[in-house]
Amino acid sequence: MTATAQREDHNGGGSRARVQRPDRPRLLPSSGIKRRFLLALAGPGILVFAFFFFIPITFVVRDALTDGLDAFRRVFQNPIFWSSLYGSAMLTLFSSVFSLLVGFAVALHLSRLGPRLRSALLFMIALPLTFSGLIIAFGFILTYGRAGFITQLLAFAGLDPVMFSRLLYSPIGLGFAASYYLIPRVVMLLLPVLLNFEGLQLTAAESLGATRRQALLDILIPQILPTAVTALCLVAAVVFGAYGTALALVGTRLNILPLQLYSMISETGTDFPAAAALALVLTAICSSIIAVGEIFAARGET
Amino acid sequence: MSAPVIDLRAVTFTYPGSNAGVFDIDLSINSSELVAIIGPSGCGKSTLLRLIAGFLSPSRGAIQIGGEDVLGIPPRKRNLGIVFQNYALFPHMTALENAAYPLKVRGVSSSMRRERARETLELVGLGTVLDRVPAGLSGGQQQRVALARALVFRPRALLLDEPLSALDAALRVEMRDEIRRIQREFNIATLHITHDQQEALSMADRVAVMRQGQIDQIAPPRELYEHPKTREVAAFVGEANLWPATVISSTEIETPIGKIVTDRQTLAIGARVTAMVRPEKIELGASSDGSNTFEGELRRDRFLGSTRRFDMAIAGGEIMGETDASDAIASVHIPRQCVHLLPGGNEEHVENKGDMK
Repeated sequence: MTATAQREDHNGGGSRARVQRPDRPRLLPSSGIKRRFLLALAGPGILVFAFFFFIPITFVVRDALTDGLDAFRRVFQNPIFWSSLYGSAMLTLFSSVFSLLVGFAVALHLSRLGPRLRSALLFMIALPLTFSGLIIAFGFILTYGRAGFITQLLAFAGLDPVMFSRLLYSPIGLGFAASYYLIPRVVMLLLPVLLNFEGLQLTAAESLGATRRQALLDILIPQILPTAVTALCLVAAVVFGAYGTALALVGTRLNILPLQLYSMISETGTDFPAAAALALVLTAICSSIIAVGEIFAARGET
Repeated sequence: MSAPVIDLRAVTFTYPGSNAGVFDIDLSINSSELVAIIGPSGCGKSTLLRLIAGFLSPSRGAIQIGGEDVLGIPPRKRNLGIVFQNYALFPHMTALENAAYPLKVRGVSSSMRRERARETLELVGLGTVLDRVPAGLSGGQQQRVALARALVFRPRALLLDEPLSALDAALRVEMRDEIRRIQREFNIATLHITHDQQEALSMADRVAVMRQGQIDQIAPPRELYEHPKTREVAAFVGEANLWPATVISSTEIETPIGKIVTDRQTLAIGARVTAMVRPEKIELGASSDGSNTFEGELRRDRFLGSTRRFDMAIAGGEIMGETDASDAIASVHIPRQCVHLLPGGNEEHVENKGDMK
């Protein structure tokens, strides 16, 4: 090792830990006033958390445990629960993977556009996020339902409109409808990563002997993978717990957990402790999915 | 003499929708030779590298690498090691993994490629930071990783695209010697693109000066400096006094600062030329016979550490000189053997326009 390299080693990466960071500028003087002021700033958040999460979940937990763990036992012994869990898992798997693939392709394309066109397209892509699930379902019915615009056009081409519209009211149709509002979420998460990715790395990889496919698999994919997994988990959690679009499209005919829960707490429902237990199970599953995403997000930051 | 490793013949490339590009480039780089390309921004030097690397295809001309015509062959099959300006290291891989990557895509076994990458990293002076990712390495260390990655698969030639421009000045000077050492150790034909003429002059076996997509001159550094073929090369490489001149006899020229005596030359009387005198050739005081002596007022006086550069205002213009002396300067003279006559001379007085770093 040369003297230069040794000196760089000592002065370079090895010295990172010794670098002293400049003091952060202080927003407020250090005093009791500061503490009270910061608490006041946190107040709205604390109130929202308390009234819209902590207190409701406390009552749900209390209801679920009214008769010990019997409510959970009734949930798990109900065959509908397992078919609903399977339905939800399949719907989540299909729509989140489909959304991730489409969202990645869209984000990749957007990352190659100029900033003005990208901003314009991004605005349009983000629009579905402002719609409620019911509106999306209604839009799909008007477009792809039995009398829908696209269905009628396809009918002119000889396609059976009944058969086609039946697709919309199936788990597949529900998956596509869900993807409509999941894809923008994927795009929003992946686009910054792709914009920050240094394309020269792919050029370098190819100059070193890699094929385009190898360069993408070895260089691009590993760098976006943590964010992609985070996006996948986020949209999976969203679709796993969503019921508005599903209810509007297929009613309660489809066995998925949110619709089972809906049935249990609607007017026909009688077993509220079991409904509360199911709500907790649903919350736990969604939280677990989000937690996996957070772990990958943290891994991507290191 | 063996065939050149890189051989360009009449290579022309124009960017679509513009007049920019490179035109009729002839360039040969022999085995173990380091050729530097210098020139102002936009002169086409990086375009030349991209053509050799295969990222661009010439509209005309031939490129041979190792005696093989490479037109139509993609970059990955040209077997060239490239070090990019900002290194383009893979941030998710360690130094060792970065260096081993070219071997991985060539199907070399894991143990073998780790061993060879480790050897190469040690050769470039990076034996102790193998497991660090690029973010944990200094600029100089990152550059060594980039060099190791470009050399580990024993490429036919090495292409360096302004590899030192991202480093601070002190490290840049040190890394010049390091790159030269490594290049000699690997005995590899190297094309070095830079805008820093000192870097080019100090490292290269030959230096090519590019301007407006063409090579003005290619020569060993000393020849390029002392005998530039054109006024533009003289102006770009180093500092120079350049005066438009007219030949008035076989030993005299007329310039805006007056008559200058030269060595005997064979140019026609009345020929328009440019007289070039390097500042370090200017001598203080009057000459023994009084010829080429100029008196004037010191306009600028710069301390440069090991030397002192001054501009003396005289009738008709200025003379730029360099000296070690700290005395007051009232007159200077130009030794006649130090006056070089270059073709063309009807343009304005030109001082150095190069990027002397």
